[in-house]
Amino acid sequence: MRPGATRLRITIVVLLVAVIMLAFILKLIDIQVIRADALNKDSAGKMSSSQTLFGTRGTITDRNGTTLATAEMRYNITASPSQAKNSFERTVDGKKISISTTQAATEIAQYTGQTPNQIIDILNAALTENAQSDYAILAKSVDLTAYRAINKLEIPWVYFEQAPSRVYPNGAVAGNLVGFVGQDGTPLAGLEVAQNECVGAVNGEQISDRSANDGITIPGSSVVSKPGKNGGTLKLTIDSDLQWYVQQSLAKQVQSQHGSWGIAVVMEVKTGKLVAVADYPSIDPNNIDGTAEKFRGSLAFSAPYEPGSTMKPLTAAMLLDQGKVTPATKVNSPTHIKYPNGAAFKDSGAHASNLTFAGVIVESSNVGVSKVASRLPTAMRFDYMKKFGLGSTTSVDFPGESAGIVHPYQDWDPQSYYTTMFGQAFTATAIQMASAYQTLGNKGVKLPVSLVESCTKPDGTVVTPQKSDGVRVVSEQAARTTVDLMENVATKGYLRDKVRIPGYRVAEKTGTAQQSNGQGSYSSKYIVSVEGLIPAQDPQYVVLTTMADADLNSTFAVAPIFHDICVQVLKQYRIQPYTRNAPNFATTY
Amino acid sequence: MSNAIRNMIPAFSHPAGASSELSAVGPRPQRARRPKLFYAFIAMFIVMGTILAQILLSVMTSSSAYEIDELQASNKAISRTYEQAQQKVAELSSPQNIALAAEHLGMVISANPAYLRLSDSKVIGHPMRATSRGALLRGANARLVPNAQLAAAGATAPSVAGNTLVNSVAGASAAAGSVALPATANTIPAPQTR
Repeated sequence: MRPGATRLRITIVVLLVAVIMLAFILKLIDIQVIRADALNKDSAGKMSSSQTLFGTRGTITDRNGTTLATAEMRYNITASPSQAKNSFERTVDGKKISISTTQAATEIAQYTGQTPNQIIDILNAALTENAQSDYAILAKSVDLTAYRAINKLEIPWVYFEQAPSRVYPNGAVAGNLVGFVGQDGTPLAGLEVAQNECVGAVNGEQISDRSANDGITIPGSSVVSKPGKNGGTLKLTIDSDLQWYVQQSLAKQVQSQHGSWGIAVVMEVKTGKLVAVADYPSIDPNNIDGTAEKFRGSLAFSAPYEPGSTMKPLTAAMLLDQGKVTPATKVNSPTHIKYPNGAAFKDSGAHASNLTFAGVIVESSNVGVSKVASRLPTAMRFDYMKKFGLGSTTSVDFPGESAGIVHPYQDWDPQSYYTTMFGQAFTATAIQMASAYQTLGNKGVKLPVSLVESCTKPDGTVVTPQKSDGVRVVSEQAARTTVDLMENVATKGYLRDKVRIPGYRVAEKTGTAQQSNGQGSYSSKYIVSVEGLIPAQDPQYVVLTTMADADLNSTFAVAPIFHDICVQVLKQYRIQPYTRNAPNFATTY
Repeated sequence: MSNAIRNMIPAFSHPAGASSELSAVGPRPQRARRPKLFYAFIAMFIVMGTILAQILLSVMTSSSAYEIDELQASNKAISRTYEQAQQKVAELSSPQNIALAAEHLGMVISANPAYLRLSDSKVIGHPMRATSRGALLRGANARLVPNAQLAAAGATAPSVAGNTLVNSVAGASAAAGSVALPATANTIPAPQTR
């Protein structure tokens, strides 16, 4: 062989090797550099899977830590309809038996509360839409027991999804306050909405590599790609035991009186904290559909009404604060009156006309109140009303909370000029009225209303809502005398036998208010209420009860529950009996 | 300065280019070659050992992956059972349920608060006899403050005492006040007196 040919061959081989090398290098660059990102992503998608790390929505508790709302993991039962077409084999006692789709559906249905046909229908519907269908939801949010039972059936075409849900172990107790969340976890009503910032959770995501054969996570491959966040614990000022009692008594009474709605409120005088807020009809957040839509919030916050004569103690406090009256002030009070400006109204019942101011309050004389209250300038009266909290929402800021309607005094017509003195021509919520009475009980200082005690974040930090300072509305003396006047009502008024609690001093005022009939005039049915302070010598609690459209159409419809709730409060909070030095004002002169 | 060091100094201060004057250092290279082989063995051994250990370790971790998975699953199952039980306790201790159970036992809410002062046995307040007005849950009134959770729990676990109460009282309005006492005659050992 010629040496030249050898050299040529060597050259060709070297070149060939070089070309192949180059091809490899180019391919390598292509894989490692040019398409690196896309390929990495592709491989990650094939090897690893991502799981949702469900954040747990926080618990809502009452003041004693009793759970009112909590998170519960539930499960959606899903199926692959295209796989469900065929029967499968199951080994029972070592023998293989064939399970048809119908039989499997029957087995599932007994745990989901459906009929087997419903399940078959779901599968068929999915297949009609798409013959290759791989996904259909058979049942939504079944509980752990049902999930475990269905899982045990080992039906190859059945799959499960986690579905975080919400349960309310105390049912309708404080249901109107707590509110509820939708099936997708969106808060829809009540404190679930208002305090979502506290209890709300954020779902996270975790990516991990899994074995292709059996789905086992490869150790050390888990990476939290997005951290989740659990919700905090929301503590309310509500006492669930008392709340239940108040709700039960209210519901029982409203039903027996065939009323259309009712509200009962218990508030701490010295703190402004709400201990019980009962609405009728109430809602069980576990069963939202069981309650009409308009009653799914809290009427106490959202349904203002013309309070009627429960306004009179506030008017009395204004007058006493300005030194315009004393309990003994003589007020000539006929039962009818027509003022020169055209305003005309009457009292609800017959009474002596030679009333003292204390007598005016005991007899709840509209005429008597109008005569003395006109001693105050209108602007000043309006100002006092505002300071008592009328016409503005409370610091609770409850979803759907109403401010009530208090028209500017410049807009008051001659009739409203007088009727505002005794609780008509403006509206207030039950909470606003309770808060106004809290002011009277707390020596004239109005405290912000509170429903939330604290929020404990998952890391343990406790956040208490910022509270504004109390505001003095009337002098201590004026407030004290007003409570005395109200105690005089309890001992001498027409409900004295109904509201008496042996061993205790009670202060109360009744209200029989006209309500709109929705057609521009007043209905023949009243909103009746009894509102008071216990114990009268050193008020600790405001108790408010109100009801619309009662059969009795008078405060006799609510007096029994006002009494019973007061007794329950006195018992539950161990308030000592005390009867000395009760006021005894003359009602006539 | 020791003798040994003084002897070393001339060796260091040899002029450059005087290497020809040096005699061969006989046994040294032979001595150096043997340790090299020895170190190579050690290095090889360490490398092999490391690889082997790594393989063993990874076999161990991947086999414990199954154990981890199993334990995690059972941990999850147990904590779910715990949560479920806790929730059941919360449902059964709801005020509706307790009040119903109490009323079923013939208890009613007392009428008027009064206290007995232990120091002088004085009664403070006005005790009054409880009346049927204290029974708030008669008949349909038992469902005035509903709790669907309790009803659901009753449906799936009818053996729980609290739920059977719900069911029985809801059905019979006259149930309150007339309670069949459990037969205790055979459960408490009592002396047979003859």
